Amino acid sequence: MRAFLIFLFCSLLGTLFAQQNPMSAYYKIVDVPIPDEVVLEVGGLALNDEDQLGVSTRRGEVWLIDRPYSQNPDYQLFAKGLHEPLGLAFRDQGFYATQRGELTRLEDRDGNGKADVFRTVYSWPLSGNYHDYSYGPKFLPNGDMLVTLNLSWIGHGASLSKWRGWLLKITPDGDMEPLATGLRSPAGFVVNGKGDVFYTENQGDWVGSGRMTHLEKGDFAGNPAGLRWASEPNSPVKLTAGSIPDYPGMSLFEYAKKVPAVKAPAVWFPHTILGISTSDILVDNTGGKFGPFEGQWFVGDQGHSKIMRVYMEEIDGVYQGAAFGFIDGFSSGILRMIWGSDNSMFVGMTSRGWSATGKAPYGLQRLVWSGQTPFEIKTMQAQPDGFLLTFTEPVSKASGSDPAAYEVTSFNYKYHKTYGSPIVDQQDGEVYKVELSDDGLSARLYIRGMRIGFIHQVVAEGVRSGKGGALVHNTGYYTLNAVPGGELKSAPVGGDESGMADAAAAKRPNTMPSSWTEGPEVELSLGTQPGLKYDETVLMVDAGAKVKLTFSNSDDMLHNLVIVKPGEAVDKVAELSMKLGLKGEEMNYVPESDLILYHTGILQPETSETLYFNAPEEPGYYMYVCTFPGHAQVMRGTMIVE
Amino acid sequence: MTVKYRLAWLLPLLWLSACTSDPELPTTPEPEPEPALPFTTVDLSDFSGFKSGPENWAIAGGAYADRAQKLTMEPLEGTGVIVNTAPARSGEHLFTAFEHGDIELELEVMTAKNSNSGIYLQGRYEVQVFDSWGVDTPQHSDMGGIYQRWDDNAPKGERGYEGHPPEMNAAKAPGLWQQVRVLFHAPRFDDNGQKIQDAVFREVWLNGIKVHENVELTGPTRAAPFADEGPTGPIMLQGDHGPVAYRNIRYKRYDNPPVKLSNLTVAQYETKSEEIPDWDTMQVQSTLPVDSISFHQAGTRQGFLLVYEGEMVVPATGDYLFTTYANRTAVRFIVGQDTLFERSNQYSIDAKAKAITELSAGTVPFQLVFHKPGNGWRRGFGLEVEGPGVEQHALTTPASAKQGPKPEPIFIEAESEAILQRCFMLHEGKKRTHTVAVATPQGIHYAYDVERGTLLKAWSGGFMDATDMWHERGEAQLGQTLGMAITFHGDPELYPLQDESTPWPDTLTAGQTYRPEGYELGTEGHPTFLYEVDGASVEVQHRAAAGERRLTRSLTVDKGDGFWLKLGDGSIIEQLPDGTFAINNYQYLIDLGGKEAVLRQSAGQMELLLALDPGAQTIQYDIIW
Repeated sequence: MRAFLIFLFCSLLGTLFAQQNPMSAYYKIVDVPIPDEVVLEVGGLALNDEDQLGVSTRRGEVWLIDRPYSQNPDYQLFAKGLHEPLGLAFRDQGFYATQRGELTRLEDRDGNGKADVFRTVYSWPLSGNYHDYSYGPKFLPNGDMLVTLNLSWIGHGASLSKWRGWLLKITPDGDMEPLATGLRSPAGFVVNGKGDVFYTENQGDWVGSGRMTHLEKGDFAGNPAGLRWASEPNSPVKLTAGSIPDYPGMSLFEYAKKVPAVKAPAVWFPHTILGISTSDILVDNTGGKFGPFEGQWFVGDQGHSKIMRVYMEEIDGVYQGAAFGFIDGFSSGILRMIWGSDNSMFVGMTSRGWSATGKAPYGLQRLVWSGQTPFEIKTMQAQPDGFLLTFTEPVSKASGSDPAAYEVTSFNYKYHKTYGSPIVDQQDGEVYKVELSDDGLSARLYIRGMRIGFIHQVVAEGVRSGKGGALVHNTGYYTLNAVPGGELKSAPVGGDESGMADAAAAKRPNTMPSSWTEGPEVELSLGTQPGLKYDETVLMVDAGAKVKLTFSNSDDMLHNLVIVKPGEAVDKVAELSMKLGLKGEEMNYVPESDLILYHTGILQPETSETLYFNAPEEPGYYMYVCTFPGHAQVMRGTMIVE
Repeated sequence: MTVKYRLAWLLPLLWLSACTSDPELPTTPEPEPEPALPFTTVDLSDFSGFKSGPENWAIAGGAYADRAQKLTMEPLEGTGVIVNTAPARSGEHLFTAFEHGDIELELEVMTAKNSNSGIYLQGRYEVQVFDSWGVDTPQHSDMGGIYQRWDDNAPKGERGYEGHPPEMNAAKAPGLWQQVRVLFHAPRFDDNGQKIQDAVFREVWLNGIKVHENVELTGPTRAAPFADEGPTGPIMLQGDHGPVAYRNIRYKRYDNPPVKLSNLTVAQYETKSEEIPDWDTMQVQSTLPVDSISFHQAGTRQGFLLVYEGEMVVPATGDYLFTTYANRTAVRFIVGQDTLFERSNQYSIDAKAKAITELSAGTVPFQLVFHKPGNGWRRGFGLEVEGPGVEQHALTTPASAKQGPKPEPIFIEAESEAILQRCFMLHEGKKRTHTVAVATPQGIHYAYDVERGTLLKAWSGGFMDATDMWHERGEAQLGQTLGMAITFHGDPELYPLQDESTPWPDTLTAGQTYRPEGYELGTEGHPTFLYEVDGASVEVQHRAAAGERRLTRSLTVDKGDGFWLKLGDGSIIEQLPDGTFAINNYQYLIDLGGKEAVLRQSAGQMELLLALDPGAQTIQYDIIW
């Protein structure tokens, strides 16, 4: 009896933990110990040929970690004094690091374990703007290197010095060739097995949501700031600065069809659902030693401390694919991912200045496959009239072949100069037939309402494995740029747009009530500070007072202000706000709940909104919180009503 | 001689600009002559400005002190400098004819090797003048210290007390002119002559470094000729401890009470309009009598218009200097009939505007308008005034311009091997983005610009404050030097100068090629910088000497044909009898070890240039300060 109770207890605990992080049974997150005195704000990761892990940090150091797979690694300082090196690579017995202002080769010529040669491979100008981050290098098959350059920030993205917003190719001898532009925050990029280059972009001005784009020489990826240099003699980009209108009035896919130099993204990551600041890309070339996703791509997120998975395919030369959630719960903001020699994944992190769901200021962890295969949608391939899904284990015939187990909707983002974009043009599709293979491993979905140039959310909620388990992640987002054969054969559905939820105006009073003949009794103003903070964490009002509250967002991220009831309401509201799915954006990430008293909308940077309301009659400690996904745990304050 | 004080003025602003940096906004303005109230200069063409003298003192045009020769100083022809020629242990002090209470004093002083002098405020409170070149940990008896008091009746070993060492050793080598600035408050007495407040050194600056702040003195320091204290006293220059020279002695006495405000009211309006609106047509939100002016009276962060009206109580007739600074807030200031400020809201808090106007003693009405349509996060404004005999003070409350709390500083210390740190660094107000700062184990540090191939600064003591780089996003990314820094010309050091009249460029010119190649670390971790310019390969090394501020530079060039090396520039460059060159009006010295250099006038200043030989060579020279 006692053994049974212990077993019950443990499995309950296990279930509880699994619910918090459903992937933890299959992939374990293991800390790499860091000595107290080492501020390991990871900028770059690279293994040398002695299987030591090189880590470049934002404080300009390069550490060599011996036995990084163990719980007693040894840290040696290899180099220091660099200027925020946000990338590291190892080749030809030396390291390459991309500093803010140059690509540098580091060598230890006298073999004493410390770098003594810091050779400038190529140097580029800087404006002095802190946002001019520089990333890389990564290697092309011929040994040349790639470097990407972030835009400057002056209240919006700008290219204040040469080549900001560009992808550059640099030979080991230091010859530079600019390849592509339109980049905004290209913190992660990769060269795949075929030698093709992909980079991730962060939601922001001109970028509706996080995404990954295939870059070829001469491409323009969307943000016009880098076009400032497109007229340089060695620029292959045939677009002039100023040729992109501020509001083209269409999606980036449509715009790319109109203007040849424009490249539409291969994969979109819906904002707040699949991250908020996409970072590194890592292709699974472990030969199946990291689980069932051989050949697929892992993409990190700095803001949400998580990793997504991408199944990529190429149709008639166009890259596109499906993005799925993979695993949450890393200790800080993910910037870098590389394979260890044991086929575990090193994950390097930092959140200084860019707060993340993982609260630690920096971190280094390993993601280790347990050997157990999770029940997941393995691949998702586009068909002219649907999708072909494969699974990591056989699904039950009843659930897998039932069209009602699947749901499809498609949507888009606007391409414009505004920061981010709401979900637009959303339309539900219809899964009208499913053919399940005899082995239960693949399901051919037949769909009405597919649209080329749109992102398709496919939810397989009703699918069960043969053993009755649910999918760990049941939703995939497929960016449909093309279909095999070139012709879409999916019949349209009758223009049935999902309605926009109306913000309840009563909870968002932006005009002063006419009954306030003498104006407000209390005027409060609230602003923001970098690092997900309101600039006042305590506001005081008298019970029942007429309050005018102006919220100003002076940060370079999106925020809102939601005033809730005292006690646990703030945690509940935070939880609800994470579950709004695709509707979140149009709801300003404010869930419908009685726990919410008043709220603003999502504010763009450098804008403000005023609320006029009567303070609650009941005294107490009311909370206010920003419910933008990823912020609600830290960005809070207390409104004391007395 | 105010160039160095602009640096000092910038120091507190550099931190503020780190918090509020925004490259779109005009922040720190270009160094330019700005409005200021004049000092009274002591005429040094004769001894009419002094109660005593000349005796062991002489009027001269300059002074030469061989820094290798003890207690030796030679007066040079001319006027404008006073030199004490008596050997140590003999000689009389010099007392100014004027006496002072509160005072702002600036002067320059030159020491000889091992020499000793002092500047006694009110003849009683001494700022020590001493040859402290190369001292590691300064005492009260070192240059810039506030000398100790002395009690003959105390037991031996306890007779000296209340000496204050300077914050750091900012003393330069003997033979260089050093800048001293003192803001001093005399003791206060009641009607019965009882002292109710001690004398205070509010600020003492040496060579651009604040070495004391708010040091109170309980009584006269040792060897002061007065045992008592009083409301006034002369400046005394000590003349019995060895050769010393003084020049550019100037002061402002502050004998008048501050400007006060009376009948002050503030009207508040709500507005988001970009320009200051005509509030006559607007509905006023509130009108209140107030006793002070503060940003916080608005009660809101943005969208407001504050109109202050009242009277200024002017203590004396004369010129008044007003200074205003406001974080994204427009300022209009009308005194009497004159509009002194009509300033838009585009500036951040570190950009100051100044205006001078003449006012008569008595009351004058004023109107002060603060208008802030947006940018609620950037807060604060201030208004200050200085007048004839009226020390600069704020007309706004201390909280009005207060910015957020300072972060915990992050320092990089020097070690037993050279430490390098790349950073952005300010050089003459501009950001140099490819700077490598180097700390040597000898305690002499320097910053080299690898984008231009030139030395930017040198300093000693603490190495670097990296808070602006590594706190939060590090918006400024500035490496801040710790301690007294010498600034060099910052132009590319090598250039194929065609002829005498071609100006030296401040960056790479069209048609030139420059390729930075990084650096290699050698013994003790010292870097050798490598670059190629116009086909010539260059290796640059720096070494420091322990115990004195000497930086030795060596440049190895493989093809010197046609190249010149720019050693220094400044308002005045003079060659001293021992062959060294005093650069930029005696800020620092360059020792070429006998090599022939060319002095020329170009672009309004003097330049010291060296022609390279054809072919391969190594040029070595020392910088001493």
